[in-house]
Amino acid sequence: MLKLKLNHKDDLFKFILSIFVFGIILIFLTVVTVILYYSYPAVSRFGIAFLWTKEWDPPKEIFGAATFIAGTFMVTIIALIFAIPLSLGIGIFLEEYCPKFLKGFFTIIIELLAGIPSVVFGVWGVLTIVPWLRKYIEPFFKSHFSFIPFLQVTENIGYGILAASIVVAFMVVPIIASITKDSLAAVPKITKDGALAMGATRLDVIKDISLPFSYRGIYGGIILGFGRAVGETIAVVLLIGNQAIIPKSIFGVGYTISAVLANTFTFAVISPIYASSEVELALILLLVSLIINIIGRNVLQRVIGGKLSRAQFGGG
Amino acid sequence: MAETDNYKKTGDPNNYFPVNKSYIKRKKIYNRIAYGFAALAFILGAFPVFHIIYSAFIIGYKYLNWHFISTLPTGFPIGAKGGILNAIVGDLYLVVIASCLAVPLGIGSGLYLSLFGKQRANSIIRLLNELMIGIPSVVWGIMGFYIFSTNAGLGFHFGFSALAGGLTLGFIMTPIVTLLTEQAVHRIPASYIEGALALGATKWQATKSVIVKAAMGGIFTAILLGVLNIIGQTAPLLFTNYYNTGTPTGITGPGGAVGDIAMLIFIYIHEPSRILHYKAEAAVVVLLFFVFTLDIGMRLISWLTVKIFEMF
Repeated sequence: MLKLKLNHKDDLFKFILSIFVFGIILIFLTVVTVILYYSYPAVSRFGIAFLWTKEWDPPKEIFGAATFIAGTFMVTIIALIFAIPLSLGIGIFLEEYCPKFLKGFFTIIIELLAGIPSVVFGVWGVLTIVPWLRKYIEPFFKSHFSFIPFLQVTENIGYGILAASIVVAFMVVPIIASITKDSLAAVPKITKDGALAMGATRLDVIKDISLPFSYRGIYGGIILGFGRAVGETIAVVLLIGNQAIIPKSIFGVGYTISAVLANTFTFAVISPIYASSEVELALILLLVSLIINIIGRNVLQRVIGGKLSRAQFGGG
Repeated sequence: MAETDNYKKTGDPNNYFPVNKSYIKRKKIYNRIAYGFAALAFILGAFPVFHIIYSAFIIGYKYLNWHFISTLPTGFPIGAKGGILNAIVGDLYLVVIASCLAVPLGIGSGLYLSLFGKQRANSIIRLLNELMIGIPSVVWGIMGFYIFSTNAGLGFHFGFSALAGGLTLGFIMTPIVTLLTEQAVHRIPASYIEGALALGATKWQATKSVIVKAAMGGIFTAILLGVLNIIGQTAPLLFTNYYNTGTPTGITGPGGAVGDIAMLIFIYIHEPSRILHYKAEAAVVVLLFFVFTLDIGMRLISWLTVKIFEMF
């Protein structure tokens, strides 16, 4: 019976492969179920107010995520402010301006950046970015720009939102840059050549043809970069200063959701409600990443198809 | 208008079209400036790659010797003497365990996606995989803790151990292997598969004799990229397999934890000891060596595959 089936059709083969597919679905359901199940006590106890409660007081069992959400979004937004122009420039350079024989090599360099592990970025930040901020940038801002809100320097220590943002920006750059490059490469070459033949400069071609044609893909890249920046953990833990306060300036120290999880989750499991609140923080991260990735994927699908760029698989 | 008037006066046909020369000059200058900014952006983006390698090497070079990668950490604080053998062995454990889960699962479902299944169901599975790639690694770590490590409640009760850490990393690696295997099979010329099927082969026979051979390079690339991705992971290991300065006694339970290069770096950089910071930088060089070797090996394999395809 079985042999007949095996020879005749691929039922057995298909059955075995579908077990593997079932495994994939199981993995996805496991992560979602575990996070939902273990965060349920906190969700039912604190309700939606968890999102805007500022206290995080384990002994009194009052938990609210507002401080960490604020820190996470500050780091993410500032990182994107640095990363977007940089990666647009890189994408445009690689696709439009770069000499042909160097293009492959330069692309590999940017993709190597994507493969560097997050802890290595963290160490680089601690030993390079932080001293640089402490020695040059913070004293400069302190003496010249201290009247501008968000730019005041209170403690000249180097660690803080800005240090974390700079490093996260470099981790996000390869994603946005390579998706920008792929979107620009999807512009029909004949249109660009036509414009060049009519006497347009490269800048005209980029401004009037390439960017209008590929802006959706660039949005998609930015959305995926946002998703990556929100969940960044180890580099941020090492750089942000780890103080549960809402920073008033970009030089201030703060705390992000992922950093608080990395630092305190193993202590939290002794108290059920504490652990549950931490898992609820993870739930926020999970939901943000799922929503962001669904949106980003839908945007990208229309521009560059289902093509995955190498940079999307980060180095942890 | 001035140029047209000029033509009327002189009758020189080169001056017929009203060309505004200063306008063209300005355009060219703007183009140059844009070129400059784009190149500057590239240099700024490429700078960390070189500076990370350079700064790690400058600080850690005096520890980079055979002794460093062939001895266990000793001394006080632990690691002040000796090397990082525990972490290299531990990484081997974790990669093997993760691969045992992710390679069959990933290749199997990658083949399913490209050979069987309906359009709609496949696009959902593909979506799930892409979503899993986007899930932050710290969330995977928490899931791994509750499924594998915790000693209370539901779960496998492996404790903080290589098995728990490795399986969690395997969960991270699976969607990567799946998607890249599917792409590798898609890159095979359709005529290969259709030819086999037209000769009466079943899909299993076609897979065995054509697809696996033709997609071998792509599948290897998928596995290497998966390993590359998990080798630098730290956040999931925080909750599933913390760290071990010695060699593990097993892969589960107490004593089952292993060292890990990324974890070692993370722990050393937290210590208030200069010598451990130097050692962390030396370990960064070792980790980057592994990562870049895998990266370049992966590229070589996929480049060679393309070349071999071109030959036929």
